[in-house]
Amino acid sequence: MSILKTSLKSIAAVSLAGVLFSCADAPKKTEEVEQVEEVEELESMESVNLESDFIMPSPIQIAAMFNRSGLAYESGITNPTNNVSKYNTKTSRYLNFGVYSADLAYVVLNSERQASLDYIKVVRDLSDLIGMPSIFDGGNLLTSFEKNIDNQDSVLYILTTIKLRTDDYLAENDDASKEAVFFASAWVEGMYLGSKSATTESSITSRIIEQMSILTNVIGAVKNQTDQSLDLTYLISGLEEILTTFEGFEEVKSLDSQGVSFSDIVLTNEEISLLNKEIETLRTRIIAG
Amino acid sequence: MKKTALTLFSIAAILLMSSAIIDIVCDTKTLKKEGISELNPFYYSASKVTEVDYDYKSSRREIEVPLFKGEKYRMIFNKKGLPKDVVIEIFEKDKSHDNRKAVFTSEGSSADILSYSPEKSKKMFIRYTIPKADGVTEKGCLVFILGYQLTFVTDTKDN
Repeated sequence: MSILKTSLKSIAAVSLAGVLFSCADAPKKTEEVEQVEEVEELESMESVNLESDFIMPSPIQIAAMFNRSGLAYESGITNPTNNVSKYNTKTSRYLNFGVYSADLAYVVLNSERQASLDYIKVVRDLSDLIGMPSIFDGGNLLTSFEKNIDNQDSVLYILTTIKLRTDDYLAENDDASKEAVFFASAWVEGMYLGSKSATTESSITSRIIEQMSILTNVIGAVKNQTDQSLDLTYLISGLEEILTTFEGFEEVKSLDSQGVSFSDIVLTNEEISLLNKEIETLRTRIIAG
Repeated sequence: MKKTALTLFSIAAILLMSSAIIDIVCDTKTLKKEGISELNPFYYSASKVTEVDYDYKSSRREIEVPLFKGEKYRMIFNKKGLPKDVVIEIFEKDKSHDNRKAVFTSEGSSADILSYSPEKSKKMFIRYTIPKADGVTEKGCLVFILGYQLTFVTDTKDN
C-alpha cells in the first residue's frame, strides 16, 4: 500500500523536523482561541484540496435503469465484436474496453444469449491486451458466465464482479484515475444505445437528461487521469461539446434558478436530436479506433 | 558538535521506528471485502479508499456521490484502517451551502463499519472531518462502498 511506502520515505524528514522544532515552548492558548483557529484551519485545508473526489456510478446500473425505463432491444447498434482487431493502440483499447462493457450490459439485460457470450469474450480479450488478465481469474469467470448464461441474476452478478475486480486492479497498481477513461467511454456508449433504442412510450429521455448531471465531473476526472501515454484529447473535446450543447438549451439555463432540478427539464425533440447527434459523433470516433 | 548530531539522529531513528508502528498498514482489499459483505442484497457499484493524513491541524475532505432518482442505494463505511476516529457526515447539498444539515452522522457511534441507506436518491455529499495528529504524523485509510439495488424488470411507470 502506497500509504506505508510514502510514510517511510517522509518519516525521517518529519521526525528530524519534529526533533528540531517540537522542543520549543509553544505559547499556551485558551480553549476558545484554539477552537477559532481550528475552524480557520479547516477552511484553508478545504480550499487547497485539489483531489477529484467524485464517485463514478456503475455502467451496469445505468444500463439497468435505461432497461427499466422502456429501452427496447435493437440488434446491430452495439459496436461489432470484430472491430476489436482494429484496436491496436493503447488509447483505443482502453476506450473500447469501456464501450464493450456497456454493450455487454445491454445485451445481458435484454437476455440476448449469443450476443452476451460474444461480448464477454471480447471484453476478456481487451482486458488481456490492456494487461488486466486477473479480472477474469484466468478464465474461471468466463467459464462461470457460460455455465450460468440462462440465469440473468447470476450473469449480472458476474458483471458486477468484473467491475469490482477492475477497480481492485487499478487501485493495486496505483492507477485508479484510469477508471475515468473506462467510465467515460462506457457512458458515451450507454447514452448512444439509450438514444438509439428509445421508444415513444418510454421514459428513457428523462433518464438521458439525468445522466447529463454527472458529465461535468466525468470530464474533470478524465482530465485528471495521470497516464500521459493515453491520447484523450478528442474524448475530452467531444464530451465538452456535448456539455456545451446541453447547457445552451433554454430549459437547462433555468437550472440556475432556485428550485429547478434536472428532473424538471423537458427538452424539445430538436434539442434531443441535437444532443443525440453529438453523442453519436463522439461514439463513432471512439469505435473507429 | 558531532555528539549533538549523533544524538539528534538517534532520536530521529527512534521516532522513525515508533511512527512506523503507529502507522496502520492499509489492507484495502480486506477492508473492501468486509464492506462489500455488508451490502447484501445490494450490488457493488463503486468504492473509494481515502488515504487519511492526520496532520498538525484538523482537515476535511468531501466526496460527491451521484444517486439517480427512484433508485435504492446503500452506503458502507469501513473505519477499521483508521488509527483515530474520523467523523463521517452526509449532506444533500454541497459545501457552498452554509446552513446545510447532515442527513447522517457517525458521531456518537463506536462501530467500525457503518451503513446508511438514503430515503431519497439525489446527489449526496460525504464529508470526512479528520482530527489533528497527536504529536507525530499519523496515517490511515477509510473505505467507502456504494451499493445499488439491481432490478431489471421492465417498468414503464418508472418516475
